[in-house]
Amino acid sequence: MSAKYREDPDLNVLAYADNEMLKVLANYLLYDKDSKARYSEELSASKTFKQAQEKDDYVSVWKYIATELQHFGGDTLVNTVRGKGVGYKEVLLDVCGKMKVKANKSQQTIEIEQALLASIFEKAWEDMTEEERKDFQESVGIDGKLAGPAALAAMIAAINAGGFASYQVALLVANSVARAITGKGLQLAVNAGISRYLAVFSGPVGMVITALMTVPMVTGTAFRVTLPAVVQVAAIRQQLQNKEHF
Amino acid sequence: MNLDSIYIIDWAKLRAEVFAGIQSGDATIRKGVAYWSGNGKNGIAEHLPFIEKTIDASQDMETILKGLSAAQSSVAVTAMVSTGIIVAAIAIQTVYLGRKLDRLQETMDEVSQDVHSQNVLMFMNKLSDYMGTVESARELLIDAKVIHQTKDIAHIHLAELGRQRNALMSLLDNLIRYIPNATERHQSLILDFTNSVIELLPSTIRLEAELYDQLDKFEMANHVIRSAGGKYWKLVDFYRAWCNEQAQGVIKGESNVAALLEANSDKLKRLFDLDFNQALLQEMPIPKLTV
Repeated sequence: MSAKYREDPDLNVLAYADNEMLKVLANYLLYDKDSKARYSEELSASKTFKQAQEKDDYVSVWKYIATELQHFGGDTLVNTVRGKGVGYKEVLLDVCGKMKVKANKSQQTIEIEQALLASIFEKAWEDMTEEERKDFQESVGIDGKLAGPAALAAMIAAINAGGFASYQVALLVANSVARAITGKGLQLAVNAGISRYLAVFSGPVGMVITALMTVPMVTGTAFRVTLPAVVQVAAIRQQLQNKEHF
Repeated sequence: MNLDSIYIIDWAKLRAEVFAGIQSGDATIRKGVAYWSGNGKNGIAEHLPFIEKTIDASQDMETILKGLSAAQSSVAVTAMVSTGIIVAAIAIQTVYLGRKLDRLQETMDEVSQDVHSQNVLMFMNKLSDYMGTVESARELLIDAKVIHQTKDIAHIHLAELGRQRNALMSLLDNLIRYIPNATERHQSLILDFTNSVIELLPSTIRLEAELYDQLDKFEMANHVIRSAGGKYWKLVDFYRAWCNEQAQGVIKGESNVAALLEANSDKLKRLFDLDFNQALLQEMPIPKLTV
């Protein structure tokens, strides 16, 4: 692995991440939709990473995974010149740009991630039935009587505000993305008390993700890798918020 | 390896009645002697039988304790569990403390030379004073044969230990708050040093209580354990909360101590969960000396 880790405060969160969540992130970087090794990945060339992977220990190699994400975020030519990838925020903003999510550098990374999650959620919301919407609203503490655009606005506001709604939506979106790409959801989402919404979300989000991934990209950035990867990092950050580590 | 000889109770040779008394709380161990503390009995229950053991004082206390319990008979292990490992912990902490003090002094010298903040230097001075007094108190406790000649000095040390301990504990939270403002190298030094002090304090508090025991001031010994122990746990809670706050900063991408916390993560988790610190800061039954 020739790329070096670019010191990145926005990716240090991975040091606290759950092994399963890191494994999913690593797999996005390593394999394509058909489980074939990505042509441009460099992670598997690392002996340290391979050894950790054999032991199913992704926590000890979080920096390798972070480096690979930075690498995918940068243009291949730029990587060759810099020897390092690009910062996570740059990758995130690039994804947001392609998703038409309004975001800018001056915003906090977590705010940008929440805006991205809200945008994916909004697309999925349109495909949910009234009953499913009402049920989900109530589960995250939003008045079930709200309907139509007011309900969606309240949901978006709750996601952007952080807290429990963001956490649940982050896991639901990350789970749906994982199912759409790898065919397998997140065990963590099953255990997070949101299992009854997993199927409801998977369909619409899966369709959104599949549609986004098949759009041909003109730039050199690997959107097919960076989109699921930033969704996964966003979910990791939401999952770790307010959790005691010591 | 730093091999030291210590004497620990030979539980297998203890009279059954006394053994049962210790387990039920009707007997208590002070100054190497078992005293009756309940069930209508008074005075000395038994002069305890000891066996000599070799320990590696450079290891952490938990490892030493595990090694000792593995070397003991099953009777002893039962007794150690039932008395909350406190007796064994007290037995080894005096030797252990000596080694730790040396190591702490080295870190202190390094921090003092490198960090030129007035706050940190003042803290180092306070700590240096306290550790000096702790070492003197430890010398008094090492040889039981001269205890009767050291009572006057012990009074002086006790007054100093209490005053210096309080000053130190009230300053330690300032030092913790200072960490994010230090350079990367200094952060590591200060965190390492803070961990050492927090690991050591239960032993120094227990030593202070032991000195009161030597003067037969058993209520006062328990008072120190209660009062200083309460402050100690508050300090640990504060430090733990600070570490969690910093970790949350890392998660949000706002902290500059990410590498430091990651490097010390396992050490910190262990520090916040040390069984022997709980054991050392337990109050013990008061011996009944007279009929």
